[in-house]
Amino acid sequence: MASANKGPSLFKSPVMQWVDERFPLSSLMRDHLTEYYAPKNFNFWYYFGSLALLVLVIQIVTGIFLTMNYKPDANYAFGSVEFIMRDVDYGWVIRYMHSTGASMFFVVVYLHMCRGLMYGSYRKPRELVWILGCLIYLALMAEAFFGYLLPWGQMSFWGAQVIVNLFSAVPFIGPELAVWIRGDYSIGDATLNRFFAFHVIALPLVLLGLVAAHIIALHEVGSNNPDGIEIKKGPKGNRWSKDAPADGIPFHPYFTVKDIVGVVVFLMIFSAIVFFAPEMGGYFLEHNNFIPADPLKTPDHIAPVWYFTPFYSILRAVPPLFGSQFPGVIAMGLAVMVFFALPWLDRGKVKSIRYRGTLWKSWFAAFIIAFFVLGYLGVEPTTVWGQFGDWASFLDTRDRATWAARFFTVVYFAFFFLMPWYTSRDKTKPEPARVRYHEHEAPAAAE
Amino acid sequence: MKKALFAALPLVLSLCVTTAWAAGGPEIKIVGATASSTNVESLQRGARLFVNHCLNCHSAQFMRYNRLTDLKLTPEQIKQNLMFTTDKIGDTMNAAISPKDAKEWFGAVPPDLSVMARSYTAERLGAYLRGFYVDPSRPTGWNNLVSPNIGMPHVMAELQGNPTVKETVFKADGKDIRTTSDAYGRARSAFIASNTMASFETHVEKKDGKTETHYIVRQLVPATDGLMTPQQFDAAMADLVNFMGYVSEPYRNQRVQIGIIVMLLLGLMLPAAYWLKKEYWKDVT
Amino acid sequence: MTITVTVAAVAAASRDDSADGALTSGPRPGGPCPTARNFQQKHEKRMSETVNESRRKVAIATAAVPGTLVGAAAVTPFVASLAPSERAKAAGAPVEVDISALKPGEKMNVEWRGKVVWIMRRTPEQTASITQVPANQLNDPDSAKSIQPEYVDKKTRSVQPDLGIMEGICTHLGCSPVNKFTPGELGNDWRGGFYCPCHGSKFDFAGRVFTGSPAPTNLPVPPHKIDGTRVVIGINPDGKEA
Repeated sequence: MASANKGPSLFKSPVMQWVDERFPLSSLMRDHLTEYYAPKNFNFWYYFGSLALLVLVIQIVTGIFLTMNYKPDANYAFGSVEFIMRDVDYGWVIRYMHSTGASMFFVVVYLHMCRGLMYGSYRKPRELVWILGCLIYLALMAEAFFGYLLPWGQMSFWGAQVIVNLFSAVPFIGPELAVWIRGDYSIGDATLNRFFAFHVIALPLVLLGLVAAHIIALHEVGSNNPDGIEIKKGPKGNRWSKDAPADGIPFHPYFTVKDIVGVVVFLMIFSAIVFFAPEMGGYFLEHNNFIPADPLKTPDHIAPVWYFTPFYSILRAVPPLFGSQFPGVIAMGLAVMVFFALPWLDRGKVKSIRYRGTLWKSWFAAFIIAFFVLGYLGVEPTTVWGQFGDWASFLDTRDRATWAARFFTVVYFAFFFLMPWYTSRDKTKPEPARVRYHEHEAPAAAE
Repeated sequence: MKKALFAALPLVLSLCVTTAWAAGGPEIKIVGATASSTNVESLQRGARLFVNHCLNCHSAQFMRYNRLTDLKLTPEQIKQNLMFTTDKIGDTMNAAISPKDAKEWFGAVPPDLSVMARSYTAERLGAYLRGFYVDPSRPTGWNNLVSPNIGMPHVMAELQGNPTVKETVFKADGKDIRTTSDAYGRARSAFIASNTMASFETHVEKKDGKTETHYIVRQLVPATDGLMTPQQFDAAMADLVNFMGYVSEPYRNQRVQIGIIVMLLLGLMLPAAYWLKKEYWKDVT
Repeated sequence: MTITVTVAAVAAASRDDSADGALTSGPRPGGPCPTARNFQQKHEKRMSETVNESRRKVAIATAAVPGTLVGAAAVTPFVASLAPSERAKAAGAPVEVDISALKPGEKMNVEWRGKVVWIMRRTPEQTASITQVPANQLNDPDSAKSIQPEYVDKKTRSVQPDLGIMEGICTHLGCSPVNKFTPGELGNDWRGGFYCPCHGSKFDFAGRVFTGSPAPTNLPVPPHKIDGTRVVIGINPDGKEA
């Protein structure tokens, strides 16, 4: 019988076989699940890819149900969110899931990216997987930014105001550009409506497409692993196939059952936040966002949501040049965009942190610290650590925190721009021929 | 396992950054009782205070009267004791005065109180309600320790009486207090030692090219000329704040209850999922 | 979200059932997998000792039970959120009507939950006409198939014979019938009642539908409570809301 699939059907049911003859369902399942051979030595850090997918599903499903009652109108938006929270049965669960999901998306994605940095997952042949991932990250930031305006609270309003005003720093066309983005002279109803359109339709479509491309590209080249060596270059043949890498095991059922454990643990953390601390001390839902947007009254202290704060810190750290804020905007943009260049900046002989030398490890540690400190400083006002006092009047900004942010901004960029230098000089350890799996190391202890 | 724990550190770190909220206004020493959100009697007393004193000018436009059955009140009790502005129990709690009148009288529409306890936080709300004091320099005759120069008068003065404030300025005068840091130390200890609510403010003035710093500590002097004793008023405000906390998230207790069930379910799921994984991974060598 | 968990667990199960022969999968006792056998005999020997298919199935079943519960718990809020909101319920709350001004032979319209409800003070003649209608001229003379609360009389379809309360919505396709109170208005044997202008359904004063009408059942009677001159639509005499 003619079949759209390579190989026999995976199904016994005649209905599924009928489908199989017309659609490559079995082939897709083989390519991505049952005959996708992933390295068996995945560790804790490899949970976050599937968890990111889970959060994406949570966000889409809760988002659909929120749009059923949300009103993208400056007069009703704030009230419609409270309507969802109070008058819709279980509306508060759905809304808290969405607001917690937004923050948890970034937690998971940052850990996923950190994994990529640690094990060199961006290196050849996975450059495109990495680039697609960076695009997902960009789309996610845009999605979060547009979504944050929708509750129409004070932080929504002023956060959007500040970010859109960054565009007015663009030389020559800036002010007109900002007006064009808002569709009004300040953030208003038109802005809310277009942000809503981007948030619920445009960016989710982009995200889904990018995520599909990310996974397809990954399954084409195969997953990296904590040892950073290619299982495809190792010996061939395992229990399932004589052509597959010896150190690979079928994604399904092995990693599906493993990921279920990760999912349950994640859901426990997620539910604990949703049900016991949905505001997360003002980090997931900010106190000021429970005040309806008021264009006439700026809150005392405006900070973006925590996941943007490292970049916001960089923006604030760069002093204006020739009276223009533009250099800060460029630096902030560069801080995000520099991730794209990573595959070509790293010249290390090895991929994984396990075999890197002290030089790389120190820079990596410095980068992580810089990211956390910048993130913390972005939440706080620049006066958080006090001022230097009168003696330091020669400094253009006397806030200690501003100077700390400047220092760590330099560290942040140095990690990337000095990478070609320190990675090629790094004293690496020899990579093993095969991946390290705990039973290899202690065969007697197993069983 | 140890490795996994270590690896989870960034996740934990990223979630546990200390709470900080730049509130603006002076630093406040908060003195006052709080009530438990599961104390139904306290919530009922708070509801009565709320409809009698707040709802004249403020609304809670997202809160429906029939929701108050959460507080173990029957619809009849709600209708008779708590509903003054409407006769439909499904209606939301709207102010007795129209927003237009309010704007004329106060210069601004009094803010909606539905989620006030979430934006202002319950702690500051309690301090604010207890922080009114007589100040003849203000148009209303009232000022507030927590939100200085606010337009709202002390609507519960009948209950509390007329509290006043004791203001002490600490300034280096070269005699008793020699230096600015000495002044700061004295001001801090006076502020911390206060057994009533107090505020601490730093004033920096530029004078003839020199900066002069002085510190102001304001201590509330409780009133005894109200219908309530200071202790009774303190307890009443705890009830009111408790109720406003309830109004800002009426489903809170339900949220926690459901959360416990969800955690139990997931707790059941975890060992089963872990066993499933173990069972499959037995043949991975 | 947690559906994923269940689906994955079930998928894990289905793979064992269906994918068995198709893949050169695990060396199960007796399973035909020549490639694997040739390939790693050492492993096979070990596997046959460690892989216990029935234990795996028990593990799947064990995980599927809480998995299904978690899945059901996850679906609940989404399903529940589609029910009428508190605002809709408040808008659909019982409607109280004062009928002291309603004279015999008069009918008034009241809106309840977006539907028109008639309250009619029937004259003695109109009440009498209900009993005079021969049962064989009616589709459902004893209101067996029609919607009305337990406490109304099945013939007069009312609690007080002189007070007719019913939804003025034709059970055919939802038009609102018009008054045809004058006897003889719709033919010689017409005793008075209602007529639906859309498709010609005819009803007597109790809202019972005549044979030959497209409407299948009598006009529904909403839950109501009569308290002197005060009528509450949407509430039962025991005070329970509909």
